[in-house]
Amino acid sequence: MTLCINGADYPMPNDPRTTLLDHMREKLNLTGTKKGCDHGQCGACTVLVDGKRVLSCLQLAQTVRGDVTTIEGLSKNDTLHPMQAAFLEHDAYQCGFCTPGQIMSAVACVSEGHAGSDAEIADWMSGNLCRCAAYPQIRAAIASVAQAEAEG
Amino acid sequence: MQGHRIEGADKVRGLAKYTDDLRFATPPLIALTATSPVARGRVQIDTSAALALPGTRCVIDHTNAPRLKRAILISMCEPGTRMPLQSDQVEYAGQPVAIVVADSLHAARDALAALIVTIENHDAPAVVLSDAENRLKSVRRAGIGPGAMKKGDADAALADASVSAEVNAHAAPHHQNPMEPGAVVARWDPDGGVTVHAAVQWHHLDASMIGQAFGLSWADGMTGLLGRAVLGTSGKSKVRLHNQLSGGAFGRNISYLALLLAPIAAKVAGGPVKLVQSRRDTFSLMSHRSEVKQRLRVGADTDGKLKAIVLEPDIARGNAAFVEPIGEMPMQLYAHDTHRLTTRVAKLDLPGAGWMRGPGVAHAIFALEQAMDDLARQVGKDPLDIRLANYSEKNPANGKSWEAKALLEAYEVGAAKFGWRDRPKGGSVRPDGRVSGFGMASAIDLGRQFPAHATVTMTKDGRVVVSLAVSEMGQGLLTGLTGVVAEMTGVSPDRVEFKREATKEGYAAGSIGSTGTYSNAAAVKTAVEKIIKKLAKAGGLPKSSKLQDGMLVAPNGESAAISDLLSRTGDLTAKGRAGLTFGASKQAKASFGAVFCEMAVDPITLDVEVIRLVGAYDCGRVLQPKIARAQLIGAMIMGMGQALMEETRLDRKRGHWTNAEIGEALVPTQADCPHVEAHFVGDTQGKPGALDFKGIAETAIVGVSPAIASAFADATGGVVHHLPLNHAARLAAVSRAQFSFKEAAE
Ligand code: FES
Ligand code: FES
Repeated sequence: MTLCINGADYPMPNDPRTTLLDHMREKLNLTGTKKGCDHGQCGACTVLVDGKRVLSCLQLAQTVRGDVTTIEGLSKNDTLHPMQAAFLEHDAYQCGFCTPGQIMSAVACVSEGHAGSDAEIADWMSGNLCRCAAYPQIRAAIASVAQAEAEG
Repeated sequence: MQGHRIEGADKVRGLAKYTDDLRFATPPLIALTATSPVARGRVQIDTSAALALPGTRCVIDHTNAPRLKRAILISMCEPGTRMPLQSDQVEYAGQPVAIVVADSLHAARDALAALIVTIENHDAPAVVLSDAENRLKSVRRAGIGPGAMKKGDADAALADASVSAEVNAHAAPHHQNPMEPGAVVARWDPDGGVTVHAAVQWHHLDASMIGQAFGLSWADGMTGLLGRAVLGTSGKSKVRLHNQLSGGAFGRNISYLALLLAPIAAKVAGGPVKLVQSRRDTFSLMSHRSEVKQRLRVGADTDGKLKAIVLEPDIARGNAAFVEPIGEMPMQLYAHDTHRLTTRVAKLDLPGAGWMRGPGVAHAIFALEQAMDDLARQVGKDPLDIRLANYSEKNPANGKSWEAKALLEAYEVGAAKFGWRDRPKGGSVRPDGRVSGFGMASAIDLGRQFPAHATVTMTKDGRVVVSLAVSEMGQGLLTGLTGVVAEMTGVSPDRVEFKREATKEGYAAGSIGSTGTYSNAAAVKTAVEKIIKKLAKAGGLPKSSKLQDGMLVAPNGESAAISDLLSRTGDLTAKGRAGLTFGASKQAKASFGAVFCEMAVDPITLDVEVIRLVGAYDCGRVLQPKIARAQLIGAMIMGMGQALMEETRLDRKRGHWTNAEIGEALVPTQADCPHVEAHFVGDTQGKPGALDFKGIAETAIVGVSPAIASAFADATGGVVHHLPLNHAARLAAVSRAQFSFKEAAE
């Protein structure tokens, strides 16, 4: 069995206790996904599995079924994903440590259809803590992407 | 430059490297820390089971750790004589008692779980002030601030005052909790020096702490440190500290224990080691903002003009030198005739306290502003008017004039943007059935300049290279300083390079107290001025010429291309220094602000929601409005956290933090976040040729908690003197208010 991450196949860990987060960070050199708590409390480790948000610190690697997308797999070559570009444009980060998790969560927030209003974005992004409190700028970034998509 | 942050593209791509993300040619072993579950006793560790595991390399406790020397610094939060793993004595819960070193993170976790830690004879600790009456001692200094102050006879003035107010404020301890838990990588070098990778806020100080602890060389001791700070000598430091990007810090990343634990582990293991901190570790291996009680009494005339301020703080201190500087600011905000400050400090059985955004002042102004609100109620004035009535043109503590002060404009702009003068009456019912409350407060934070030494080189190929070991923690310092350098030298920002990472770079002012940008910019400026002189000489232009758009331009308009001049002179290098203006300058310097809050309170459950926070701030010259505003907004939201939820609770029997996780020691989430506005006032352009920067983020956390408490009182009549304004405190305050209301009716 292999793990499909960002379109590439990787080996599964031998130790069944290994979380997806630790496996990626410690063994696969995919360090873009961050660990803020290791307990499912902060959202820094958010990745997408088949487009759905997953906290990679709470998911055992061997139980992953589906395609994993991490922050490293979001941009195609040198072109930023629209959400990455929006975060840059809206200065939706300071220290940047929560940012990979915020961006992955934000991509899903829009695709889930949960970016209809400022209040809706706030509710559906509350699993991703940002101690620098770039919250208003994060909402603005997400709203801009949602709007651009709606306008097609 | 009004673009993105320099490191922005890397951050949104997940390519920005924090310490735990670094990869090395020789992968380091992984170390984890075992900490004491109780606050007092003697520790004994059975390591046999851990050592028997195949992946374990070694276990280090007080029996086999290298002996460390004491380290004396000026960060004030250094562990001093309390170096880790030096004896079997446990002095606080969460104290490191052992380090396990293993081949992998998993193996290290297994080893940690296999340690048998026994703590014998533990007697009862004192971890809260109410259990430590007998430990309180009067102090003359409280950290960087004064512990005792006196102007006139404040007690007599208080007794004679027509109106008086008393606030008994209490603030619970809480943690900075930046998002990065943090790691430190250490490797001993063949020459007996040590290479360390970590995120620190004050590079040379932290390097010196490591050097002193391990007794490396004079260059790493206090003499060497002072030489670097004051004279700009480079010294032959044997600590090669590589400063990495920091995933937030907020005061926490200074002189922390992991900077010593990782080199200890590397020494015993005999190879490179990465010490990884869990979130829970950070609560006791790093600092926190300590518990503070304040008895504050103010006296005023019938117009509400202050006659006396008497402040008596009791401050908790943990196992480090740091004391929260409560008394520093309250006497500098409002005009008054007399004051007295009498501080007591109790050393508790807790981890070392330390810096957190708005040190001292965030708590102190909470109490002062509550007293101002009380006076306003008594003399029948609007909260804004009582503050205007007590406005002081000069620094009321020392009579110095302010370098710049646009507090009046902050009141005016803040009130106008908020709609303060036309606000509905407090307690009025909103369409959703909740009641409204409105509050406001002033903000202040002192500006200081710390020593910095920059070496600037302008190269023939048009680059400007700055050697200055500054820290980037998300505050935008790199982008800000790059902009300053670009402006001073007339080159485009992408031609400016900062060499900041290693100890051999110039001594930079620490990123503390919002002082990093202007202290460091001042050093760069002096260096650039020297280069201008050399260029001017080469081009036969006056010394007063300026660098602009690749040209050296004389006041009379005559000019020469910098590239031509440099091709004649070769690369030009100059050193510049900024000194310490720690209260020694002729003028006083502070940032000011006013913050306004609208709140909705559920009259049945007393649930609160901050609807709006509007602040107006005089932070001096604003170089990058986007980044500066983000700093203000982030700090205002953190202020809301301080007001409503941030509290790390203690178990009084065993002495440990009971909610030492980021999901349990609550911090504001996206859904808690109100509508936040931050406006700039004052001279945001700065005088030509002057730097005119002041602090930003520290100021914006100040004032938010009293504005929120004030709004709650406006809505419900309940005056809360406890931080955070948790549900119990709100309920108690409202019951008290209703009780006295009933009493008055009877
Ligand atoms: S690291 Fe997974 S939620 Fe915090
Ligand atoms: S940008 Fe620092 S935690 Fe979000």
